[in-house]
Amino acid sequence: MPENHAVGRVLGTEESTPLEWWVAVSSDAYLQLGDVVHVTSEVPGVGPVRVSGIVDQVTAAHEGATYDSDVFLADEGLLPVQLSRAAHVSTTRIEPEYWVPPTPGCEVERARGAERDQALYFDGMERLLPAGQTRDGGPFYADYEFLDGTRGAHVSISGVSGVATKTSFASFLLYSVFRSGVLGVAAPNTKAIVFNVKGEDLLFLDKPNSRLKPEDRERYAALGLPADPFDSVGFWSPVRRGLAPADPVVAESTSRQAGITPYFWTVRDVVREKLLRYMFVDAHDGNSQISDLAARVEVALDRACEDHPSDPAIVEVGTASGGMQAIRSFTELCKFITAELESGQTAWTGNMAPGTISAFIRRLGSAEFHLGHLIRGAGTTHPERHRIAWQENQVTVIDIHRLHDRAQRFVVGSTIAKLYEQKERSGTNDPRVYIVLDELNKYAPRDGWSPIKEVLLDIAERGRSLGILLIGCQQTSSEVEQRIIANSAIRVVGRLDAAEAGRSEYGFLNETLRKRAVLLKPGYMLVQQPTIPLAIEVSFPFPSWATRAAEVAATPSDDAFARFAVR
Amino acid sequence: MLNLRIDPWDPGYGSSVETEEPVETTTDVRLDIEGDRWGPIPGTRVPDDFCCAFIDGIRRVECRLFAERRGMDVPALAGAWATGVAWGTRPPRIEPVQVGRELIVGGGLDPEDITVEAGGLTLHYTGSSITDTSTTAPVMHLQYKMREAEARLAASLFAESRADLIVLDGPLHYVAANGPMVGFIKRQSRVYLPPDRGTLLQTLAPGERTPLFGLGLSEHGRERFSWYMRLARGRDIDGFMTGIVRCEVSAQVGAEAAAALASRVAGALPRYASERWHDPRAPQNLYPVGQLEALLRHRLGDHKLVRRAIERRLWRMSHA
Repeated sequence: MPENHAVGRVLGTEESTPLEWWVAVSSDAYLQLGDVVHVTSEVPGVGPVRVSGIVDQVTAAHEGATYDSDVFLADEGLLPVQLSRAAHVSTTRIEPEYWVPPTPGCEVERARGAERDQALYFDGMERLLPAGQTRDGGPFYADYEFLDGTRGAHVSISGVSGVATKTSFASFLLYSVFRSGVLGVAAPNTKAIVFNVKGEDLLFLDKPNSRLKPEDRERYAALGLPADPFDSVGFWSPVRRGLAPADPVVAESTSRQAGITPYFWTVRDVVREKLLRYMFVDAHDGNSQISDLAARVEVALDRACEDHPSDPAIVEVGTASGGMQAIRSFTELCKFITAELESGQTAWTGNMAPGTISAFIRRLGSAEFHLGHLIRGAGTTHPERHRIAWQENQVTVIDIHRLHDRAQRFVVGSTIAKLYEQKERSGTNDPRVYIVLDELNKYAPRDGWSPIKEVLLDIAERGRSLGILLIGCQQTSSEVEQRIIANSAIRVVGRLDAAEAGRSEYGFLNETLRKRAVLLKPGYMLVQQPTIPLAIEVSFPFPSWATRAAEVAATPSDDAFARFAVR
Repeated sequence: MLNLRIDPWDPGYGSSVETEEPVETTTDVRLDIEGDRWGPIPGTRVPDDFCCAFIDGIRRVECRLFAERRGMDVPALAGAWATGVAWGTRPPRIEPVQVGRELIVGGGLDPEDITVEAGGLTLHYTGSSITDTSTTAPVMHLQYKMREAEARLAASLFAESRADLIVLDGPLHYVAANGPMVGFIKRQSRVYLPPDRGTLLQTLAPGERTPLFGLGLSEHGRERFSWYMRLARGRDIDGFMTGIVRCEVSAQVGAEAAAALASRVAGALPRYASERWHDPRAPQNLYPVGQLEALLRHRLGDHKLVRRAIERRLWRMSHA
């Protein structure tokens, strides 16, 4: 016997239109926000036309009650009233496409199986990326072609810190990209660079989560995903601050004990790769004079410096006496730059006002203080082993959470710029590289200009063709450069602040969804993708990888007592 | 061949008739049913789950007609009635509801049933003939049909004995039962009590009743015990009859049981009394009854739509 999915009938007290209509819900059924329903009406001369849609409002009221207080009379058994429950449906699809309203009186059914897939356009997606579960427990798919650059690219995730679980959703999405099979033969080559901005959430991606419950595993299974940790993850942490040049290179300490490579740049990298500009990217450095000066200094520096003959980490410069003098550390480099600028040589300063020059020098001093330890000089052994090598693993996690703001910007800016440059040189969009970056509003703020913002904008606008795909997270998309948001094919919203939810950036959410966004619980997101005309509420499963040390499942090799287990 | 022609006026105007009920004509009133004492009797408190069922009906003249045959021209009408039961349960509910549609023709002319297509439904009008040729006769007959349906409903409800008390709107003209079935008369068009006894009505407090008095005890089949009771107190500016209703029960139940029942009714009904701002006929139009009437009226369908459908049908018949 076929299962009965009837939930009610199209009601006739409100006008039914092709795009929105109301359902009177039967007394023995219910509809909730986000439910997918469909109704078939007979259209003269056409035949049956199926209108599918998503419930975006549900109401209940007493019919026959005149006054608010009638509810008490009804409760006391005095005044008979009729309970009416209705649901408002926004149309997602009409098949065949005749833009006619569903006929009042027609039976409305909950969409299941193929009908649900059709209502949500999953049937037309070539490559389905599991992106969570809808309210009815069914899988929700993102059209992968709108993620990998084929037809669109970039994901923008907004929401209040702590409740919106932006990072969790971004990592879930990434996990799904790598493990759902959607990549096909491109799987081994596709990479991701993930910046760990806050806490240590992302430092255990390769460890199973000991708190994963059987029902969580079922949810992964329902989405066709294994409930595993990520495989092939490289962890990079900044080199520890305060190391002497001769000290062995160790990473900043984190609760992850092993398998972290310390990263740093050398003095020569700064000179040859023109990294100076990424040290001048404070919100207050939006001053184009200083940026111009930084660019000029980079060129002059590159020209003035020779590679040191024996130490690959450093450079040397010609002296007045005709000899060569090594610049052995970042401090020495800063001194050299300062001296050149203060000498007033126009090759370095151009026509910059003295005020700009001294502002530049002040900032250079600040950069030296906050990120000087990331630039190592003479005596560094094997600097190449400490350069972030994102090609080596499927996922590369770059930890910046304990760095000063200025140092964070430097790491993000120089890493992304380098990647962009490499991809631009190769001229092909394969292999695809995903960049997961939280606090996008810091790197690409709506107002002002900075070299990082420029790179991010380039990625937003051209990354699709270069195979660089941004998964950006921010508390408030109203504070992020508009063109980056506009270029994101997939927009995701977690719990929003009420004031933020009212802003025009969330125009893709209708009135109910905006209100809904203010109430979203952790683990629930509203996902908007180009093929579906409405944002859909989805939930995603608890991470199957550890998100902190306490969740790391003890593996036999980690467990000192494993040998004593009773057999 | 019976020709039906329409009276184009809306049935709410002019030729429509005020008359509804056969006027209570009995002069046989006995005052000593509960002995000689004549004073207010307090109602009996009923348990919380005391189950009251209210039966009511409404009727509507869809359009007034003239029936013509061989030079004869008599008043007729197409009308509808609906009856139903409102239950004073928690939550309160209304069921069952029955709707009937009638084609009533005077002068002894015998109409056939007609069917009318309205809003995708087929409405069936059952033809019936009355001998009277007065303009008011068809309306009175429609009222009769409705009362008859109420009586059928009351009889079946009584047989089910689901309710502790069945309250029937209007006098018990058409139904009599040896049990808790009470006629409930909202509007007092005549006073049955002699003036010296009638003054008691002024002093009745809400929930109090008068002693029983017999009505038509000498008329076979119409023997009833009746009493007045107060549902609610009126305002100072309201007439003293505000909040007074008359109830009656079949004399079959016996005087003693009738007195006990009357006290229970006096105790049970005041809680259903409607408020002035809620119902224009407050407090006598009880909450469940008011709501039931609204629902029944609704069930007759949209008046304009039905009337238009009847007109369309007559148009086709006249061109057939």
